[in-house]
Amino acid sequence: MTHYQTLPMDSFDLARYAVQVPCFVCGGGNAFDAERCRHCWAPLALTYQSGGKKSTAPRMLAVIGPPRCGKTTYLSMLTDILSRQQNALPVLARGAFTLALQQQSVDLLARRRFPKQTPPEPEHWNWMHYQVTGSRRRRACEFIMPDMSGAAFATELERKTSVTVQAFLKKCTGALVMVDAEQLERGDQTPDFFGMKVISHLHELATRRKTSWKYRPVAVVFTKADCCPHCLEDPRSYAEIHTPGLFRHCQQRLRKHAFFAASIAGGSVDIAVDGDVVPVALRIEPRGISQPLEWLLSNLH
Amino acid sequence: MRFSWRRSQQARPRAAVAAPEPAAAMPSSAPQSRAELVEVMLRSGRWALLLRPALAKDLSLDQLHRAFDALREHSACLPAGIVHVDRWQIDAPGSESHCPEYDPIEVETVYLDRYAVTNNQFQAFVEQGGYRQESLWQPDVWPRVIEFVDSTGCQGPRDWIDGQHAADFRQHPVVGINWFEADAYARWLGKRLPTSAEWVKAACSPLETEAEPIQRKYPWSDSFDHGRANLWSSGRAGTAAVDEFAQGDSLEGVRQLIGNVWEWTASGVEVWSHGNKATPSQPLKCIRGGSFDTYFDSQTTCQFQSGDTLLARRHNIGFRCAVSAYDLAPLCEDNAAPELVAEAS
Repeated sequence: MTHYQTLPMDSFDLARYAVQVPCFVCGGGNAFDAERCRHCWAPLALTYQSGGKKSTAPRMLAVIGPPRCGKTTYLSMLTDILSRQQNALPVLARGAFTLALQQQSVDLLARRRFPKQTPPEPEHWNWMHYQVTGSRRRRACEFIMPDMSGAAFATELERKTSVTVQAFLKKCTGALVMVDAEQLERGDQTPDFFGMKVISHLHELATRRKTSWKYRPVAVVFTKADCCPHCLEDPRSYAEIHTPGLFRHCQQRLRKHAFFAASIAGGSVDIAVDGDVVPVALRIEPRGISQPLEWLLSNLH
Repeated sequence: MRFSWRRSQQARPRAAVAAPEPAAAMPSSAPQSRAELVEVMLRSGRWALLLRPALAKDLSLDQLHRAFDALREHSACLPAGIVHVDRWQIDAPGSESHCPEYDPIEVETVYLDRYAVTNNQFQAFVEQGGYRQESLWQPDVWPRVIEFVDSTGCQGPRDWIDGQHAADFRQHPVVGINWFEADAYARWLGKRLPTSAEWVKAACSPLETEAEPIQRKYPWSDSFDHGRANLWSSGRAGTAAVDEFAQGDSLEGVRQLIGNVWEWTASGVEVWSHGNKATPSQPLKCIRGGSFDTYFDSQTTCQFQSGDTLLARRHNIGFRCAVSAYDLAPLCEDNAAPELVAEAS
């Protein structure tokens, strides 16, 4: 037996559903009321916030590195320092979602704890959209940075399966490649190999010569550099000695690259608590945090 | 009236704090007489050593006067009393943070330096062979003292050049020294590093009440003011001379307890979790006070403690010295004229 039911037909809503909203990151179509892109999980707020002229469209910047190299901590501190406006780069957050990572992580850092590892699922990543206010020397611009999971990027290097990572890297205009200096100090060469893989991967992504990664700026940042003062003093020489493979790849494959060193905790120690080993930041003393981004922005096309 | 200064429980009112004296240049030849030796020690700031009972009994009244005046001018007397020291608490991942717990600690009368040790003062230690006097160093570390060198391989703080500090940094606190170097310098002066509790007591000036002592959050008051200390928020991005930031003085006139450089203390770090002691992966010595690059205001309170390994030579850790009143010869005060009296049997 057939039951008939009367449904209200809201033609306005239907019309809105009929038009797909393109994701700013991957370009995939989405319903107008979706919060995140159904293809790449980027916040659709980026699309709405980025509307306008192509010349003023936000630049996408990647922060790439292996798991546990300190990307999330670095990004949190970077955004907090930038928001305090005590440096040469005055920025303003666009959208409340931009401040989520800063709020979560800075509170932890103030209590000497490090932020949790970013999950590999893109729906859990934090995205940041910032506006750099203009001055006499610098044009106003905007940039978007996700807190990309190191595990997801490592998987992408091996299997090339992540839609989000692929779409994002394709649109990126610059990258910060993070290298764990503490691991290098322990004599572990894994960061050097990972760095080489990253540069090789970026190099192979190019489809057109003019837009290839060869001409995009890449800042190599040694994180946790508090453990090695000579790295903080001269990161380029440090790279030449401790990451010879990465150094050579940068020289050969990147026209615009520079080496930086950054540290956030003045030192850290592992403490056994209830059977778990908890890494604890002894104190927070950021060094070399905003310089890589300043360099990157000044070298964008 | 006869009383010894070490038993004096009354803190002196804050006096105009004199800037730290530069260590005088040492004579090229060794002192020929006892009087000359005493003069050299007084000029190089080693008056605390002269006031030790064994040496003080052989000093003239004038020499005693001068040593005593120097002690009072350059150190603040912190009367004996109880101070509450917060525990460093770590929570298991995911658990909520606990209310702060503290330990009430009784502290004896102590003289704490009004200023952190300067480059210029440490220079005298280096030039007078402090790194070559085995008796000044902890026995365990003595074989490794040869490794405590500057950027040119000469013995001295990490960032010095050719065993010399930078000329512009004479009055800046000495940094780039590890805990053992700080300890050896303090011994050379006849002093020691303050304990963690002594440091907290100097900073928070506890007012004892029938219940709990009332303690300040910062040496100047309970509210943060970045104009009173050299911290990240002050925007200076480097050390300042030790006599700057007079507005941040403690009640007893100790300067820069908060900010400029962290300060080594004699105490080890104890970390607590849910009422039990937790174990750090390596032994740490407690440092206090925050430095010019300390980012969070919450990490610059009198109670906040950090730590570092004993051999760490950081760009932002310095120290100041202390001496217990009980380690000094008993003196009798007759107005401003001290005279040595025999130890009460």
